[in-house]
Amino acid sequence: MYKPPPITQLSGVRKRFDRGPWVLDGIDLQVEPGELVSLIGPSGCGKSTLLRLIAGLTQATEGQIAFGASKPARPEMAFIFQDATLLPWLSVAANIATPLRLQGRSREECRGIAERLAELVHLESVLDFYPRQLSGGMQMRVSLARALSTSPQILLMDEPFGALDAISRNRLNEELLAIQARERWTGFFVTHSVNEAVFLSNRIFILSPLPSRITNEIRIDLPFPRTQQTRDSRAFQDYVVEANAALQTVLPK
Amino acid sequence: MNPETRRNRRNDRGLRFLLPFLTGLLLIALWYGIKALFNLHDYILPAPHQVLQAFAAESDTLLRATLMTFSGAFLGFLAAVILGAAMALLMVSFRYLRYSLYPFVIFMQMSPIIATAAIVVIIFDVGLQSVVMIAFLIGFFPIVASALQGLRSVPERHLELFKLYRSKPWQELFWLRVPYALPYFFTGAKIAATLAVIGSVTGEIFAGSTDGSGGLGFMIIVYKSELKISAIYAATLICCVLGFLFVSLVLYLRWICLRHWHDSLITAE
Ligand SMILES: Nc1ncnc2c1ncn2[C@@H]1O[C@H](COP(=O)(O)OP(=O)(O)OP(=O)(O)O)[C@@H](O)[C@H]1O
Ligand SMILES: [Mg+2]
Repeated sequence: MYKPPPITQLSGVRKRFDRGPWVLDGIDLQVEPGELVSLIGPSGCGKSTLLRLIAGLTQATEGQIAFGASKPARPEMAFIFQDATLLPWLSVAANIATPLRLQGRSREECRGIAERLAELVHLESVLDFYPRQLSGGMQMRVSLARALSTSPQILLMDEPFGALDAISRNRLNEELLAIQARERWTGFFVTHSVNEAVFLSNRIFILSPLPSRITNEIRIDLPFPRTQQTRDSRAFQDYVVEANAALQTVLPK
Repeated sequence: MNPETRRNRRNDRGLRFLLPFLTGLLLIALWYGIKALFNLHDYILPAPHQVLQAFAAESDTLLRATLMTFSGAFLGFLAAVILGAAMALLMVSFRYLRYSLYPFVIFMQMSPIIATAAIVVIIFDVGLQSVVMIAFLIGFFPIVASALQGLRSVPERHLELFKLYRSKPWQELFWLRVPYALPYFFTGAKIAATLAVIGSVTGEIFAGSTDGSGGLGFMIIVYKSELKISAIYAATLICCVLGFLFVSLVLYLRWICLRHWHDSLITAE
């Protein structure tokens, strides 16, 4: 059977800031197209740094990051930050379309795409609102819609739902998986919640404290689509226990 | 703001007009009272109605002086806004320019208004040109400083967002930095507006009387030498009104530009 090449491959990636200590100390990982992988680890272990390396927002000190078979170009990428990072002076529609406007698409085209995306994240009724008029969960949905606007191949998410209540978070998790099932991007998801990681991921990578490496990789073989039933299932709970145990071993005593 | 305070604020709307009105009446009564109590001569403290009479008696001169001060201060202020904003844009875009000029922008802000005004009048003499120059010099530096601060304090995340989508430098400047800096810019513009009238009038008062025809500050000196004390009060009142107009104009423009999104303008709805 034909196996597509990994869409992202990190080999021996090390990173330090200036003369500082090593933050990432040899990261090797391969992610297949359409996979959703989570990164968990203690605070300050370099998860955000790892995402920023993949996004090209900062450069690796050593090692390689390759995308796809032989293409030197970066695939289309989007980044969702922990805070929604919306531009307060733009309406919801304009915020969603910001990446497209930056790429020089016309206003009319942007409006059309924004409307379609707003529907996808259930925001069609607030297209002309300003960010301050939205709840935290709605702002995150705008941020998600904006990230999807360029039809990215890779979606990098840095604790996107960390500031939300459990109910909104669970709902957004389910919606995220539904969207991913349709659009088939590859996702990197940083979270502090083991439950969330197990629910969303094909694989979970656990990072150690500084200097950080990947200490465990847990494959989550829960069937899709995943729903509340998945969370209630025995298999889900077992994965949570397993991931928690792995996380305990790396946490400083 | 919780709903209850919001409701209270709304019920206050009538009081917000009534109370200042009452305060005004009280102040005028106090004015008469003090004058009577200490038996103050009209040359020291004219009565409010005498000030009103002065308005009527001197209306031609006052109008001419007001127009002069107003147009001068306005032109200078406008120049400060336009050139100040342009300078801030240049300084945020070209860092060597910024390194070279920034200390001087801060330094010039420190110069005392009276001194700036005096120096300008000494160089340019009393008249429209001086008023323009003073209003410009006093407004320019605060506007550059505050706009530049805004342009440079865009959150790192927003910049990264633009970088991720390979934005062009002009897009980053005009779609991100400029809107982000608007509230800062208006803070500077408000300072400039307040000082524009004060500065111009001060400059003329300092310069004293020359032969030419000057603005309100010049007229204050003239009235003083003619012992028309109530006319001085009238001219002073006009200065306050002018300053108030300038600041209101800035606040109105700020409201137009920022009402949708900026926290400081989100009042009870
Ligand atoms: N721009 C930077 N300059 C210097 N050091 C940095 C920079 N960014 C991150 N670091 C350092 O790198 C380490 C990892 O930071 P990072 O933000 O990647 O951690 P994290 O795993 O995302 O933490 P958290 O879970 O709290 O978000 C930290 O020790 C931090 O001090
Ligand atoms: Mg982080």
